[in-house]
Amino acid sequence: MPMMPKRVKFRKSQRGKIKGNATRGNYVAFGEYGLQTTKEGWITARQIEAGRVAVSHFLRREGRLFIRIFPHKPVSSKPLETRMGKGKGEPEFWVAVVKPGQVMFEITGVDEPTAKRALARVASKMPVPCRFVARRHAVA
Amino acid sequence: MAKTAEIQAKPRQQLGTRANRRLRATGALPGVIYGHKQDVIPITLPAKEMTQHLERGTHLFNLNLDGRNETVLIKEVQYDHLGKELIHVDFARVDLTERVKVSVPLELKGESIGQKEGGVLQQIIGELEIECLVTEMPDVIRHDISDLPMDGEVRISDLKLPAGIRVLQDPSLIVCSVHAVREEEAEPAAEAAAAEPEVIGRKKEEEGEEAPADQKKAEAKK
Repeated sequence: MPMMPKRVKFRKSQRGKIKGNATRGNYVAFGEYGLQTTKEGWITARQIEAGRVAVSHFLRREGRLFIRIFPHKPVSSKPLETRMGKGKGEPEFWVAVVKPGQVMFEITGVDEPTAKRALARVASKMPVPCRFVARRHAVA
Repeated sequence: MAKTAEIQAKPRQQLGTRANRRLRATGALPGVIYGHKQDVIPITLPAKEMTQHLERGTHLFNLNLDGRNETVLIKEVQYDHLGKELIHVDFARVDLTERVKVSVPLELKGESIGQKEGGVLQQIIGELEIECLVTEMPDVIRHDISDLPMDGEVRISDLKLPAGIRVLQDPSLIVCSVHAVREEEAEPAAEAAAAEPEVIGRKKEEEGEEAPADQKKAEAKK
């Protein structure tokens, strides 16, 4: 089942603009390897779910996947063949807003080549260009 | 023990974002040296060489600055928004007899009993904050996990550290654990998928009144 909030303050939201780069969630924190977006965009709950399913089918019972994004934003749309006006459309689906640098998925418990292949499958489900990243150890 | 890397640096005259951008385009890296109540010196370093040192986990440097040698410790490293390119490095002056606070990578070696039984190892802490003498600073701390059973965990207090090193983090923090992979949950009913989230602040009574109104609106649109 695609992800969606349990409780919200407002049913509908405005579209908004995506400005700047990710300043939080922009490094691999939980797993060993991750999938990072290099462009901004909206990731729908169904796309996140598709990524999760792709990894779980590929890894079977190996490794562990972490999903670092959550679809907090409702997207509304008007029914087909409807005249303009008469208020905002009904919420249709939920999206996660991502900025360049956001780590969307992380994997642990598998070697690097396997993680690369698993995350490549996820990347093909994403509407944004992605890159494979590994956890970096601080030197400071 | 941490090795001291030799690196050639030049004092930097031009400061500011645009000057530094131009500098990076030529393959150089801006940096700064400070500490010990001496002058702050903006410097220029070879970017490629510095990147290689950082990949090796080098902390301690012997900077050759206009014929003068400075022993420095990396204080902060800045990367671009993708964490790909180096942007800037801060160095702090140190004495070899000084105790310093640094972050050191923590590596787990060996395959645990739990992993052999089909469990997944999760490393929660990847680097340790330690305090030690500059000369005793390790490049990496390795911990053997071959004895770790299924559903077992290693805490900071369980780590065997070299003498003279003090960990600054809470000793009860979990470093790593091995757990069995959970079975995937069955797909919930389709009804749940269609449900909308609860709206905070809207009372149930109001909902009852408003729901028909909403439905009327939706019908009117169609």
